[in-house]
Amino acid sequence: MIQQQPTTTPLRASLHGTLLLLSLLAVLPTLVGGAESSALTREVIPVNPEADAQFTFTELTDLPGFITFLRDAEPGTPAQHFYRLFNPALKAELMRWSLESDFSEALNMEIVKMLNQIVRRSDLYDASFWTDSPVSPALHGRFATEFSRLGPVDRSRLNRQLLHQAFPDFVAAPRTPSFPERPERIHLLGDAFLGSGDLQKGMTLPTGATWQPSLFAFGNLRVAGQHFDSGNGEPINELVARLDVTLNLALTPTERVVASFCPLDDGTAFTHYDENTGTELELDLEPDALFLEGDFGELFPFIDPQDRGSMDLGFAVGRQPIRFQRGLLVDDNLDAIGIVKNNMMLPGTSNIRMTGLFAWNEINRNGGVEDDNAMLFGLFSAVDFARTSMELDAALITSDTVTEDDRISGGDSLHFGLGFIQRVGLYNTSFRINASMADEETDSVGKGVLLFADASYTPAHSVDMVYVTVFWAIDAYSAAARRPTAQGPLGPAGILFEGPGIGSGGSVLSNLANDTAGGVMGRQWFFNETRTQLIGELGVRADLGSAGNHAGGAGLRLQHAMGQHWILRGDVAGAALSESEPHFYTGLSLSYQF
Amino acid sequence: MKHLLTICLLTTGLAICAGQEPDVHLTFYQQLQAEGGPKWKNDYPPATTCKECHPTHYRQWSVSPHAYAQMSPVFNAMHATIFKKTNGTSGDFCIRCHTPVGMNLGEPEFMSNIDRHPTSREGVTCIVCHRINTNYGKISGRIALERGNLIDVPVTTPNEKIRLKEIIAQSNVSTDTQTESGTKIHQAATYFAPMQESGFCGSCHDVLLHNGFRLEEAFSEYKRSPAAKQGISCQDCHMGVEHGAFSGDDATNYHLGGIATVDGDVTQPRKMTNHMFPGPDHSVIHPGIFPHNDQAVRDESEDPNTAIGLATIREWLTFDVDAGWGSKAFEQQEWQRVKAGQELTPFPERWQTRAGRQKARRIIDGQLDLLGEYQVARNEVLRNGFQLGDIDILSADRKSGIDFQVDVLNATTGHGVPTGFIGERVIFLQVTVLDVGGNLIYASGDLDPNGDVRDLHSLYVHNHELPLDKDLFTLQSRFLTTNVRGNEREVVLPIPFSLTPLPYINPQSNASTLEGRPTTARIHKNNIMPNDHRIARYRIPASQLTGNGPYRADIRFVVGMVPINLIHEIKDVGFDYDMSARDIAAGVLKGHTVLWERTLHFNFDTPGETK
Repeated sequence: MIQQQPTTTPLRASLHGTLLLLSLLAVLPTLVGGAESSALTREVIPVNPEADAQFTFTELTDLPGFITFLRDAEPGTPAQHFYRLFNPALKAELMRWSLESDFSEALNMEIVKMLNQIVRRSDLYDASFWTDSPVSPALHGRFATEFSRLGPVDRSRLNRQLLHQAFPDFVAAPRTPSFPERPERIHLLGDAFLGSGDLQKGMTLPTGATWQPSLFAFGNLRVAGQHFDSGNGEPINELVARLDVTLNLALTPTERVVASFCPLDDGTAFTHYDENTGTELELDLEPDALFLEGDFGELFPFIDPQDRGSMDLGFAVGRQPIRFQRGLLVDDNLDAIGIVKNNMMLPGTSNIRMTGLFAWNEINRNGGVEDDNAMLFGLFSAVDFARTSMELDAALITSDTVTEDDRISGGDSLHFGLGFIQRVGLYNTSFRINASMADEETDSVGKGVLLFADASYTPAHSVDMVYVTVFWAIDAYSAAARRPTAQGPLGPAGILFEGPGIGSGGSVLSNLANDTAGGVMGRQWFFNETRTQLIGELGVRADLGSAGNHAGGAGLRLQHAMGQHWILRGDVAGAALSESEPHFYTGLSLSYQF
Repeated sequence: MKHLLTICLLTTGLAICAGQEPDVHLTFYQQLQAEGGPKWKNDYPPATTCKECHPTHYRQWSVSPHAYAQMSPVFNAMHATIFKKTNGTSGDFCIRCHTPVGMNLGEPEFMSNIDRHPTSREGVTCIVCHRINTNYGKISGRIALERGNLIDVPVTTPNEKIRLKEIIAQSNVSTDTQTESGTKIHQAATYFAPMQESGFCGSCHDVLLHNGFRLEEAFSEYKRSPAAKQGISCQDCHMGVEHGAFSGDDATNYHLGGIATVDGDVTQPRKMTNHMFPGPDHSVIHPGIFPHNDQAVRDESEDPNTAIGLATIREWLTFDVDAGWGSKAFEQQEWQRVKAGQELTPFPERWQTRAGRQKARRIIDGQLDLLGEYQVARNEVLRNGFQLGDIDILSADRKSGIDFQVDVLNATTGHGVPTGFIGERVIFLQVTVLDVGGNLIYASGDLDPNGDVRDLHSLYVHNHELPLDKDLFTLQSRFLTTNVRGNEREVVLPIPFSLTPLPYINPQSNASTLEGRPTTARIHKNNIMPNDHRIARYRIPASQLTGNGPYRADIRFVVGMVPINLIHEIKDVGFDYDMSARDIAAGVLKGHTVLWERTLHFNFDTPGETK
């Protein structure tokens, strides 16, 4: 195999660092992990359950001192007994080594490997050798009474303890492993969700399908204190709560019934407390989603017992969240039936997925105008080519127009979306064009085009992410269906354009796609093995309409995982507008994920 | 407020109902010590029990990816990394397929394989398939294993005409659970027709995560394939005489042989399937511990004086194969040291005696032979899947430089190539162009110092120490995760940590079927579908030519098990068998195989010699 040796190319690094970003955010340093080398480590990394007993290179801070101590040990001492167990080839190499020279990386690793082999030996402890060492009587006692009954990992732990007590200047105490346990999950029926242990055999249906029903609940409880000032009227200061609960009745890995509830909000208003209105409960125990999804081939295996047909058609029926074109085209809970065919084959492609959808009832149009008469017919596709993924989608909505108080709502509309997602050089990119068409504009539908592009980049020596998003909305683009809490179609552009997802505040930069252009630049930093994250973002929005109310904003979000269930999140964002008062949002929330 | 209280109480109640997971610690070693008894009494009899009557099947299986599934340090660390990064919520998802027995036993999801139950280490062992009596469909490996000893639980077989009762009656075998004497044999074998169908393989080889992520689609691809239409099954191509090809009829496609050797007699010859299932994966671990070999490995719970196995896994790991321990040359050299009074090799306790080392060497030699057989079979199946078609020279002259294209074909009709775990398969073209002096003037598909191709995942490319290989032709598919903003990014492991500091694996709240993916991650497939092909194009501008022609282009079609960057990504949780990331990488790179090789010659002065 041909291998290339690296050469430092500062010019290239600099180009990559500036080409996409052209901003202060992009050149901000990586705050953690910057020292990680490209070369793969030679260090033996023991599997976690044994890791506390094993030596690692990094913890042997005075290896030269330790080796000198062992090498020069007097006969009959614990150190000499210990060193006697070293491989002669290694000992010969160590004899050649002098204190003035550094250990080579390979020699370092050899020593660590040797130490770990010795720490596993059952003949390391011999009372006669270790009596003159500072080993505690209690440890001597454990060797005398317990050692022979212990399993190998526990023996290593005891040996490590022995070495620590005997050579405290060189050998650290065993460490505490940091591998997580499974968190508690809410398992209500059948096999535990992804739990080990025996699995139920299940029951075989007359169709030939075997079901192993299990019921599992999961969700998120979020409580936030937030302040939102839109510049118009009184600022909002509220304590607000949101609970999302989903019940998942899995029949097989492909068939399931799902019910979702948001009992603390009614879709638009949240249970909250503020000083003007006091506590207001917005309880809603109606399911937000209730649907069955599955695969015809798996539900009716008797139709194709030899599995040689193409019966594996997916389907979903019921009220369900539907999302296409990353939410720019459809992002709503709909009463719908959909059929999908995956793994279709055409030359030059690796995968084609086609989804046909019919939806009716309570379709939220144009960012929250509910239309009970509307029917949605959609055809959505995704194609994987070698270098790009393409999403081509279309949705037709038929609905009568309704005039009420001089306002017209409803009306037929046609919506298209075309997206390409690929990597260009070192950058992740996507380009999307979405269009909405209608005979006449109403409150429910606008005519317009939304061009949307984004790129992201991971700076060297990090997993951070730098991103840039730009958009251009020509006329009044409206999504085919979009739930009220998602607000306008520009929400995906940046954290400045998205609503907080809880409470009555909005985004600091408007997310409506009416005659506007703009974009964001941001960076997401990761700390603490990605459990702490900071996002900084700058954004602008130019008003291309007659009002000319341009805006620019900045925002920061810090989020931190605590234990295995809790997330603390703090946001601060503000925007200055050319023709109106500034917008400001600050919030602190605590979520319990279950 | 009353309602709020009710909901809070309900939520709390649900949380309490969830209960505690059983506190399982590393007690299997002690459990096994307590259990004792012959292997057939085990609730999950190991493959070595089956070996007594089915030695050929055992041998084939012992070196197979099924046998390696759990032994793999790459798998163990990858699964543990996903477990860790999803805060434990991925649970047993990955490992349930890799060690169904271990998970049924309630073993911890992550621990050293050395301390697992011996049958757990065997991964997809005999009883995993041969006790299935239910057609589960696409169940992503979550099959309910039958628990029970060798005798009481019937095995399932695809053979309708098995004469087990006759064999039991005529042979000196025992189905009596009360006595210890006699070769033990299962008292019943149940015909299970679906075992012959592709759907049987599809119960594991179509991996749909509970959040709707379509991780592996071998079976789904098969269902759309020409092979399925022609009635060719997975078994026809992967259990026959030739690995990865169907001869056209059952009579010639399969070996003919006695399925069992009972009491020394081989049963009547009939269709005999091959259980080696070679594929891109290969062993990177000590040959003393893999292939599975009951003559080699003694479990730590077994009495060393009565056990068949020569040494425990921990002992084998201290046996230095590369130094030649036990070989004639090494032992002679050691003897010379004895005679010369030089310091001797301080052999570990187990390998102090020369006889012990020589016995180990004989075992190692046999193991290496079997690994060699596997490598031959691996090449065969890969060559039957991946092929090079025509190479067209589009231009080759001093003015415009060199321009040629290579056609890469999927030579199977059963599924895309690669298939299965396509997000981590390394399949690429390595192209070099040299002038007459041997100077390298162009390279694509070359490796960075770690051994990765220079794609986005190469650490050297990521850290700007090597340029991206813009011409790279690869068939590796890509995992993409959704970012908090900025759409999706390509990642080594699909953990969507940009969206949340606390990633959980949960079912989706929407119908992920309709989108073909969860909202948090997806796979960008890049394999070649059956009967399809892909073109790789290479252009070397005139400015890059040295003027020292004629030039030569070497084209190699390389297949590897996993990319080295995956090893880097999963290293923090540690590797089994005292291996470093570099050790694993060295083993992986050793298995990189050049399937096909072509050479082009460009002689500008004599156009006829450009070929």
